[in-house]
Amino acid sequence: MCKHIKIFKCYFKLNLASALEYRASFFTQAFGMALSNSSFIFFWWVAFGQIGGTIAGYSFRDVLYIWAIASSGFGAAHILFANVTTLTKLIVTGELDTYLLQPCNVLMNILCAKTSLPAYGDFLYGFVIMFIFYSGNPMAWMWFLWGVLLCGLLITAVNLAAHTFSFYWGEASLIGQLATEFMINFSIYPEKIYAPAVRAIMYSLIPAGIAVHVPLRLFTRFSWGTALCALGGAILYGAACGFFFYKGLKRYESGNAIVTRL
Amino acid sequence: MRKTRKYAVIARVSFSNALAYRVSLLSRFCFYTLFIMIFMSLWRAIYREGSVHGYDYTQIVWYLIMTEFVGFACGTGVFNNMNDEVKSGSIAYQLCRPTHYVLYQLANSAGQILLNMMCFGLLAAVLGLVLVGPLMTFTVAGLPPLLLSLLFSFLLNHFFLMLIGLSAFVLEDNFALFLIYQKLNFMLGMFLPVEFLPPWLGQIAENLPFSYIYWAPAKIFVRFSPDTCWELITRQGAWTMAAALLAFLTYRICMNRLQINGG
Repeated sequence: MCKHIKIFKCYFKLNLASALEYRASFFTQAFGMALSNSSFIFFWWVAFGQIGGTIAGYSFRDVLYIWAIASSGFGAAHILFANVTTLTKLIVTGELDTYLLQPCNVLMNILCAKTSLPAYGDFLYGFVIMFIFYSGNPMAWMWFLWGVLLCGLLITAVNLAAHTFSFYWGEASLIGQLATEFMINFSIYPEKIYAPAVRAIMYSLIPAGIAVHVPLRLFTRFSWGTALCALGGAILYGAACGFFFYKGLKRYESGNAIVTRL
Repeated sequence: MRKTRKYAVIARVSFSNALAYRVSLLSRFCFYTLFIMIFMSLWRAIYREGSVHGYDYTQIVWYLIMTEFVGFACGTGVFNNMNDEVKSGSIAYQLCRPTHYVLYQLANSAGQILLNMMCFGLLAAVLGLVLVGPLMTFTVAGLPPLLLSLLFSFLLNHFFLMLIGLSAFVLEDNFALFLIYQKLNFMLGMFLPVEFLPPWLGQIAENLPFSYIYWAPAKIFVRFSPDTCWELITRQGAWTMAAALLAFLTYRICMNRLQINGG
């Protein structure tokens, strides 16, 4: 376990150092992403201005809350584990060999190897929303941080599971992209806009409900049962995705590509 | 005539190339359908709470189908291509061709846009008819101005993307510019008709070029009226001319800054 944490820390430091090497690029991309997220808040501001009250049971502040969790959770996942999105490429081109040869946990080694610059903007954006709209509310902050943690874990797990299909079907980047889109879109809109069947998917296959909507529910109407179920569900989902990855890894066929990681 | 013919050939080759990547087209079909379904669900929930200024539910769904259609049809990757060419220096190869770089990019995009229009047009019509039924406010008389408006939308968007792509000559990283442009489009017409904005902002939006990429053709489509339609098209035409002139001028200035080293 200590070894894993060490690798994790080491990768984070290296990735951050390499991001800061190109400061202008880093800041413009992070700022651009934060600005990009603001356009969706603008959409909600106009929509609530037209309607007033609530939309599908969510007030404007509720929408901001789920946005804050989704944005920071997505940011955290892609700051720490951005390499998961390239898993299909690694499998298809045979570049996974490099990771398999190194004397450390394969999954940890793959996930942490890369960071995403715009993800820093996403991560900070959620905190900015919380500072503006929920600054004096410690309970809101507590469930927000809980949500960011679960959301980051579940986004990574969903991506991992989707890209793992490449072990079975070859090029599966489309599944990866679709899974990400579903996860994001299920997270940033009130859950009741979707039909009951879609909501069932939101709490099972693509667990955006557990990642984002449950923390909001815990903040507004706390219940131990909901909190424990969400935590248990997230851990189980993460473990199942990890198991699926290792099962798929056994089908991996090594290539003869010579790859250098700098 | 010969000059026009070579650009037509470039457009034809680009059309054939785009046709070869069927999986990419299929994946974009999935995303288009996904976005329409999500926005349809969202607007259904919004209309359940109350009425929205000037558009009924069927009109707003068709509005979104049209704006997303423009968005997906315009998806030619011109910004990324130009960005890569400028940053990697491979623009040098393009400059050797017996074509004007700006016109080459335009012809190259035109082929892809034509294929996108055909494919996504069909998908958009099927989705709209299945999800909300026919749009009663649209008549055949509205088709020629709609096509003209779509043409201006594609051109206006293309020249803006070219301008952002050309900014790679002076900026280390122009991705933020692209994001800002993209989100201005989202806010000023793609997700919401300009009529939904607060009056002060609506006025500003109507005087900016960004609304004329998504809002103008979608409005002509869902709320056709001959007077407003020609007014919108005239404004679109004016903005397109301005953007085209700016793109040619910027290209000229950028060429003076270009340094190519052999190797």
